[in-house]
Amino acid sequence: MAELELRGLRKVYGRTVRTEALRGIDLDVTAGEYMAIIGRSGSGKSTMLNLIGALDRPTAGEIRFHGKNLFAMDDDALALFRNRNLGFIFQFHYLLPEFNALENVLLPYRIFHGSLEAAIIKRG
Amino acid sequence: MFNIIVAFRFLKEGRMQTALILFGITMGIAVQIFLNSLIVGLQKNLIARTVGTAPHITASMPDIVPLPSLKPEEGRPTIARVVTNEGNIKPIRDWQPVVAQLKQYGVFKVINPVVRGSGFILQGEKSLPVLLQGFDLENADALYNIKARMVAGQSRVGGNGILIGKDLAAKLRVGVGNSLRITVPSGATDLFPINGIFDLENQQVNESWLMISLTRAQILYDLDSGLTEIELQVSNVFSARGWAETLHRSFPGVKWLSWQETNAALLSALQSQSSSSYMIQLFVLLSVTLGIASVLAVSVVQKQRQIGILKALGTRTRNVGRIFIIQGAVLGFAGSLLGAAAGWVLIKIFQSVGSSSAKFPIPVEFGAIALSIAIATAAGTLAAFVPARRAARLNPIEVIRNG
Repeated sequence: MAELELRGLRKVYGRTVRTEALRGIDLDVTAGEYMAIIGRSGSGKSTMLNLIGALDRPTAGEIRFHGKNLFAMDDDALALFRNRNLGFIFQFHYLLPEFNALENVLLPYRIFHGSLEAAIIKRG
Repeated sequence: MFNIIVAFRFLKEGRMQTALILFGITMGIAVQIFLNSLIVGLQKNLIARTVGTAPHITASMPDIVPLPSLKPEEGRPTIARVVTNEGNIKPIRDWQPVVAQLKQYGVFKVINPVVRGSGFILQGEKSLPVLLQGFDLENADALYNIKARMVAGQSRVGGNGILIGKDLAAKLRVGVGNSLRITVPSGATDLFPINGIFDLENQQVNESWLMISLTRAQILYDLDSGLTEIELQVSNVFSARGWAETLHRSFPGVKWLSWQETNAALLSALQSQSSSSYMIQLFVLLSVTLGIASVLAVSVVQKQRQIGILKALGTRTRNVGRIFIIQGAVLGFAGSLLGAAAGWVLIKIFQSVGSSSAKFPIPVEFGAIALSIAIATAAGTLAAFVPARRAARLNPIEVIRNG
């Protein structure tokens, strides 16, 4: 069974001028699989990844992770899901200038745990 | 925990912005604390000057209201001449049990039984009105601080011996050892040797007061062992009015008058001074709050990207809000702490540089300063709420999509 399932995923941007970015995507991803999504500029790659990354909500359809529908969760549960289950490399450089490189790497850990454990600080 | 770290990093990164708003808060709170201490010091000084060496409560017998002997009938004009009793002294008799009970209350610093009456001094062709103050000098000293303010002779009354004020002495060109002929309205007259000359730092008093022993005054005014007044001082000057009411309930036959009733104009002046000071402090606080709110509103816009990333990495909505609320609280607290220090310095400078005639102690009240800091911290926290809501509502996808 696939770890990640996309079912009938649709995403429409805008209300007055409607842009349909995704029109019913179905996709299965299994554990250990490498996958590349290739397409022209504006074909909806980023839109799809933003949805898989649980940063945005679809217009219709669902994404299941380990059989659980992501978008049935509220914002806080989604935030926790992102923190615990996802790694994301953004298209642009997104680092926090207030923190150094190591601290930036450790951000998700600190968001979850609050403070760093002594062992981690030592390794740094 | 991590919220606090992020909040401090944000404040540290916006150096200039943080420094400017901190400076603003510091100035505001310094002015607030300085003004508050100044007004409190000024009022304390004024009250001490007004009632420090004056009775807080004075007991006397109420004036007798003269009544016509012929009652007017309705519709018919009546001629009735009302003779006033003004000038007559109505003594407080049997005052010893009253004083004994006053002592039992334990709140009266000074209990001074007094016989007070008018008289005049005949010297050659001159006739000068004086106010005779018959009291026990030990009791009266606690109230009027006489012994420390003698300019000549001894602070001693007894027999016919008297003390007079320095202005009266100058007017009459007399000194210690001379005698004065004093006549009272009833016609009684005698020769009184001057034992000493006092200066109570009040021209009116120095010109007209004449101190005599209680017993001699009682004989002079034919009061037997009665008094005209009992003067009291309480430890807490503002409790005088309440005590006067209490005493009125216990001794309804006697009129108990507190200093607040005789100095109503001063009290209302102090009150309006206080309320104008509160108004200024309120507006200072308001501008501090608005300053923090506007700086944080700008900061939310500046830190949009960071907020977006923190949310994308799993920071919960309410924690994003907390980052900004912590910043507001930190600004309010640190600014008011600095402001308290600056206010303290301002007070010290004012006291050492101020013209020597207008000098009075300005109390630095720790409680008031702690309250100012607490209020400013609360105001800073409150000011952060609107920016915090905006930050919390920010959608991470907007930031990530628009780069």
